[in-house]
Amino acid sequence: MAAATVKRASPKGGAGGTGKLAPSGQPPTVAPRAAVGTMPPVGTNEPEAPIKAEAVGLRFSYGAHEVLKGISMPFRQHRITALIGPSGCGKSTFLRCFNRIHDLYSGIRYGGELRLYPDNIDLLGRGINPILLRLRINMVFQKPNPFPKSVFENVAFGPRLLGVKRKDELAHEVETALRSSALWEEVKDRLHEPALRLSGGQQQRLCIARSLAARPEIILLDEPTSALDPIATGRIEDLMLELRERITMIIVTHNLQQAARISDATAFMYLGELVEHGETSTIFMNPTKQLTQQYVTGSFG
Amino acid sequence: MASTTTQPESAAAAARRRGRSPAMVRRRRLVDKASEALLFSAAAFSIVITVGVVGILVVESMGFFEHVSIWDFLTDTQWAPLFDDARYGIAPLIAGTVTVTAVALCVAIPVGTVCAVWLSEYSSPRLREVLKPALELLSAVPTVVFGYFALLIVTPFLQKFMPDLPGFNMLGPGIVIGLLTVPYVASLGEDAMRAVPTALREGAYAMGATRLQVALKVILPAALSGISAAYVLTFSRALGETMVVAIAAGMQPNFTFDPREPAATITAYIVQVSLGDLPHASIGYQSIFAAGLVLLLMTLAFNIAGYRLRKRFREVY
Amino acid sequence: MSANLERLIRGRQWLDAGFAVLGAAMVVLCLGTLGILIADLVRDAAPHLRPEFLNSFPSRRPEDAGIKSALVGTLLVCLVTAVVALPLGVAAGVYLEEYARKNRLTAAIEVNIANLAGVPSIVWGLMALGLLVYKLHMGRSILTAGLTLSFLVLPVIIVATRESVRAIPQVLREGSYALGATRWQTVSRVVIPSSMGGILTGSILAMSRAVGETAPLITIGALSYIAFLPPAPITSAPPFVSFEWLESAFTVLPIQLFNWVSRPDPRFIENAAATGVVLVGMTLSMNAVAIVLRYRLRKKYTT
Repeated sequence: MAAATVKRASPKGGAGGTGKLAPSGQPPTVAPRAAVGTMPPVGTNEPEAPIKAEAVGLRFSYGAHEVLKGISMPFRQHRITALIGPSGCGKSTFLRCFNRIHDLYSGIRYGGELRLYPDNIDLLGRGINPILLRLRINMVFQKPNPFPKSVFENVAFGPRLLGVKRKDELAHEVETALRSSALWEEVKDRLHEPALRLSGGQQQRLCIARSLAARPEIILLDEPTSALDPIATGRIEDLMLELRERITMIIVTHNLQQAARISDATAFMYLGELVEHGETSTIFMNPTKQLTQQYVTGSFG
Repeated sequence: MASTTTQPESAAAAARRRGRSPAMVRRRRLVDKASEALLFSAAAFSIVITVGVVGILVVESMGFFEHVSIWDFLTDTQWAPLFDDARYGIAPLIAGTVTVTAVALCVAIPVGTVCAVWLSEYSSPRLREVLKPALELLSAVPTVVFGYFALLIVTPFLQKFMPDLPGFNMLGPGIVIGLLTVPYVASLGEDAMRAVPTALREGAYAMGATRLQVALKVILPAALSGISAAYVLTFSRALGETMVVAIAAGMQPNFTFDPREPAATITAYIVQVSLGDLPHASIGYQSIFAAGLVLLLMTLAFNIAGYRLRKRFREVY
Repeated sequence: MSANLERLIRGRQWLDAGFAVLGAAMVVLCLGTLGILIADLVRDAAPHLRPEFLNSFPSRRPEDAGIKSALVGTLLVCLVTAVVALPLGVAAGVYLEEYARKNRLTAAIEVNIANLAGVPSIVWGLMALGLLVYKLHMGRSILTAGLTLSFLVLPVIIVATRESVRAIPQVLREGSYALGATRWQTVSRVVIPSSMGGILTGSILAMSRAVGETAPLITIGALSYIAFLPPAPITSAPPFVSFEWLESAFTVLPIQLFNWVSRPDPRFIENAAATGVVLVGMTLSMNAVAIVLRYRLRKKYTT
């Protein structure tokens, strides 16, 4: 409704404009790394990817309760970074800082910086418009949360937010997103059915498609498979590995095997602090901190 | 609780023993059965009441329709049962009722919905805690007082902009009925929107939607069932509202849909007849039952339609 | 392109801010209406807001007229309503929540109660006129009025009872059954006492509705010129209580108001306004009590 009064803008297009927070020009379908098409095994010693985002002494408090106590770590472009740690360690809170979803609630305070590259801006800074930010960094939640609309309208939600209005363009965007999330074959004949008729796993892939259709630079995944059965979980993991070559992903997970299977880098958090971060293989096989060792071997948590 | 068997029986133990005696157990069972029967009859009494309401309306209306053909009742465009040259066309009363209700809904639905969205999605929880009950007070004011308000405040105010507006008209009371039913829409609508899971709200925000987009594109559609229930309730209230129109709309049947004119609604007509002293079983007396039956049927029809509609929009989050 | 997008988003954010203002304005409009209504009522009523107004009978001379009979009438009618509707409504509500098995009959009762809540108030008046006044020969009495209003508020009380009974944790009931209590003992000693707060809140709201109802009482022909009080309920001779007042003719505050507001003489309008002040004062304070009660209850359950 809001979009109706505003001039139409295309989501695609060149690198024009130096807007502070509009999606940067790079078309997401182009893989930046040399090894296009070949899926590098997780955790190999490939050359370091550029840094996409970086937490610098990030603090977060809710009322008088400090949840994040100064976290600093980089997130590399087109990698999957897993955040692990026992319940209440602040990993979800950390994740939710990236698209400022905390802003919806009162009594919250950020501290430190959360830098986004290549723009080199602080996401938590004053001049940042959270609405524009969320168009670039969006999120998949723990429980599938499709909107009470049709499959098509769910996926079209993002493109519409980006100002796409023409029917054929929308249809194209929806199809592309559904294909990328490996859902197209299953739903192409029921695009106009309510999304809530899909199975739980399909709903979650639909939510990922909904995210993809907005062509974000980073997707945040907050325990995206914890409500799903192992088969549906497997499909989501496969999907993430496929998307890895063009999108930066940060995933919060309770499932250590999952972190080991899909992530390139892992960060272990405990009581609001970052204990250790590094390549997933290092964290799991050869951590430097004893606490990490205990956690990944299952002696606590 | 520590009772020892060696000591003489305590009062509590004696009571316990008596409590377990067969006579007591039987009595308790009897009381249990009797109380259930009593409670059931209280619940079933509601059916007796309904039968009473519908029965008396139908019986007295049948007396009415012995004198008046249903065809005249439905097609004549004049309603003047008390005149020598009596006319029995319900159309003017229905026109008045529909017009007032339409004016009321034109106020209550937009204002109420905006209030509901604002309370649910925009106001802070603490503010909402205060504003919602305060709004509900608006519908707690007796409607006879709203009639006073419509006649002596709202109509004179409207006359400033519409100098030709008569002192009795349907516009003023319609607006007032709209305002007094705003709390239904606002309060029930807000409840329905609050009930939409946070996950949906966050999901839409996380995509980069503004508050207004989240409210209108996600929350409102998700809460449609509850909101339409609120609309149905508002409609019923507006349809059956009596005192405001009886005081401020004039009580003359007038076949018009122009809200600027004075007219009588079904309810106002019933009041008007009741104020006089009509002999029991006269045609005038019976006519108010026929009018009441029409009102009840209109309410019922709309409620059924609303129920159907709501079933289609069942909450599906 | 991104500049376009930024402009698009800016536009949406302006709309958003606009709606925030609009919504606040609408809420203020409604509260303002209430404020204006009360302020105007009090202003118009000012010359009459004296103790004598409460203690005089209606009169042909507006400056002498008062609401003694209407006030007494309202109190007595509400007394009958409370005595009839509260036990009946609570009993029905408890039955539907605690006893009713899922069968056709209880389903019918539930649908029926939902429909009763939607019956226009004037229709209750017609029922009272046709059935209570003429078929059951109860006359245009306080009893008739009280019964009519009881039926009208019954659904409110039933719904409030059901909601508060439903809110009681199952463990309380199980605790009682585990001690060997019968169903009735559980209901009367555990369920009803623990849901008393919610029932009370609903009952106050129901009574406030009864105080303000006008239309159904006009239909049964409540007179508005009543310059006497009903017979006293307490007498000097044994058995010291009398129920004669139940059969007495009566008037109530809203009808008195309606009568005065329909007079052409503007001085009667002041009487109407003064009656309105009393009436609004009564209903709003009852509602305020209910709001506070509800707030306390919720705090009790949430902490």
